Parts: sequence; C-alpha cells; structure tokens
Amino acid sequence: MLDGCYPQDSISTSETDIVMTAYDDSVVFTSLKTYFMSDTVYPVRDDTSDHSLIENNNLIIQTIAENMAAYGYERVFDGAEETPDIKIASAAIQTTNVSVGWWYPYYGGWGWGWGWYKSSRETDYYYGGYPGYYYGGYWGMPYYSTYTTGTILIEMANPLDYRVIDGDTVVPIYWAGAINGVLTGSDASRITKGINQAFEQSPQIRTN
Amino acid sequence: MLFGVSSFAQGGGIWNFDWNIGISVGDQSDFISEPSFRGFNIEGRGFVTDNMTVGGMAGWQTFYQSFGQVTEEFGNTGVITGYKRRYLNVVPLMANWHYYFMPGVVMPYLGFGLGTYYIESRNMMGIYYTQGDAWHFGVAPEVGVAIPFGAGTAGVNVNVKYNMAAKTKDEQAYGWLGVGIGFSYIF
Repeated sequence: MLDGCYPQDSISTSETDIVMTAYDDSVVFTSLKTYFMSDTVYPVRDDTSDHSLIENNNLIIQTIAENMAAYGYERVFDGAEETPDIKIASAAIQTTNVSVGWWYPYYGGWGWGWGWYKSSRETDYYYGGYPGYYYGGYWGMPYYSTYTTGTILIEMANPLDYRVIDGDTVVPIYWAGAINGVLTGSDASRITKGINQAFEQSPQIRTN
Repeated sequence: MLFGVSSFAQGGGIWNFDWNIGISVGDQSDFISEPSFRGFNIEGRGFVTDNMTVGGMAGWQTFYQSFGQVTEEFGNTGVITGYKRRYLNVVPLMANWHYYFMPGVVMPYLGFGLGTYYIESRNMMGIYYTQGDAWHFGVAPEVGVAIPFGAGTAGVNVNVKYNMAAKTKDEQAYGWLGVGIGFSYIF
C-alpha cells in the first residue's frame, strides 16, 4: 500500500548479505568426528541442463573445510574405510524464483523453515541422493525480496540417521547455514566472510 | 484581535498545513527510537460555536532506523546476521474537535482527535523484510497555538500532539509525540 515510502534505504551490495544458521539441538555434536564433503557445490539454476561448476566452487569448498577443521572435524574422502559420521552438502542457488525465507524474531511463532523447496523437483533434485529433508520447525512469516540474489547453502546431516514421517523417508538436518546474496557482485571475499560468519555464529556445532 | 471574533464566527473555519516531527514514545521506542523528520498533515476545522471546531485530518509520517550489521537469534537455535533496518509508515485519518481560547493576538487551543492510524511496520535484514500492517484505533490529544498574521487570513500554527495507536490483534501499540509547525488558512 505504501510502496515507495521507504526513503534512505539504499544499501551497498555487501550490506545485502544475510547469513542464517540453525542447528538441531537434539544432536550431540561432540560425539561427531568425521565428515564427508563432495568437492562440488551443487548448482541450482534456472537452466537445469547446466551442470557446470559455479565460479567460486573451490573457494566455497575450501572455506567450509577450513572451518570444519577449526571446529575439530576430520574430513574423509571417497574410498575411506570408515563411514563418516556426517555428510556436508553445499549448494549454490542461483535461480530467480527460489528464495530463502527468514522469519523475524519480533513476531511470535516463527522459525527456520526449509522454504526453498519450491522446485517441482523438490523430492529428487537434491544432491547425494538424499531422500528429502525434514525439519520440525515452523512455517512462519512470509518474506519478500524484490531482488534476485544467490544463496550458498551448507547442510550437515547423517544419511544413516533417517526416519519415516508420514510415509516419507527424511533425513534430519543437524546444522544448516545459508549465505544469501553473496553470489551477486564480484567480490569473492564476501563468500569467505559469509561462510566464516555462518560457522562463527554456530559455536554449538564444535566438536572440539 | 483584529480578525478574531469576526472571522471565527460560526460558519468559518481553518485549514492547517503542518510539517510534523515525530518522537517515539512507549512501545514504539523499542521498535524505532530515532525521531522522524518526515511527516506532514492537512487539517480542516470548521467552527460550530465561537470557540469550538470540528473537523478532520489526514497525514503521513515515516520513521526509520538503521541498526547496522547485527547478529540475532531466532526460533530455538537459529541465528541470523545481516544489515538491519526498520521502518514505520503511518497514515493517520482522524476526526477532531478543538477548543480555541481567544485572548488576543495568539490563540491557544486544546484538541482531541479520534480515528485510525494505518501503520506499516517493516523489519529489514539485507534485502529481505517482514512486514506488518494494520488499521489501529487511535486517539490524539493535542495542544497548540494559532498565530494569525495581523488582520490577514493566514497564520502560523504550532502544535504538539500525542499520537496513540492502540494494539491490534497482530500488531503492537505505537505512540509518538508529534510536533507540528505549519500554515493556517483562515476563512
């Protein structure tokens, strides 16, 4: 009703960045030690036939790995004898129609919801054969965005720790971080800064 | 007092065009504490007796505050970091009543407004925002003074108004002190 009545709100590109994290507080993170992470940041694009790596793929993987190491996790690779305790999957969402919602604490009854499953392929488009995710949170306030941005999504889960809910096999997310906005613009330091912030604001997932 | 009695006889009236400064009070200062210098209103007041007017007003006021980069918790375990700003956009629509004391060159008055405040409250983090909007029941007691320019039909109007927008089902209560400075056109 009052569109256009929002003066002063010209913010710089980096000021548009948002870092959101949430973790499952029933998980004892100190019991976890090893993790597997693909070298590929899964690209989610409008053009679904484009499977090329995103521009800063290696930087994202490397930054996640450094933060995981700092938190006491040991990375294991394909062919390792032991089964990793958890898997880390990362995705870069660059579509114009997928947005990540957040819900502001000022309002009651809100929380972290996995609102980006707006794709019609929501049950099968995900990486690593995860059968789908479940989070017992809220589906709270609507959110809006008038810009197109990118989001880096980092999720920690144990595929062996699955449950069946309403006939669906779902894997609970132990921890997730969404770094929104950083795929726009050309400053790669925003990517490292955003990923570092996601870990920094989640000291609960430390295992050391 | 050159124009006082003759101009303000029944049937006459006053148009006020005020610039408004808003100073948050009460619950509103928890939302935005910084004052607003963006506001105006237009009022029409018609004399029903020598001292009393009834009329109506409409206006607009915008409050804004930037909190810079903040990290906040949400839900059970959620944390969000971003560049936080808040806005309030307020449109008051009110019927009002005023009583003019007419001692002489300046005319102090008391007033009371009753009506509604349409308020859009916006919380922004980065490019995202959540928004609440509601029509709030509102009352606005007011004191002011009109200072006519000599014998003319124009004058200066200065007033202080306590705007009280009641809590609604989904939205909190808001309140601010409005300081209005403007022109009066007396007919």
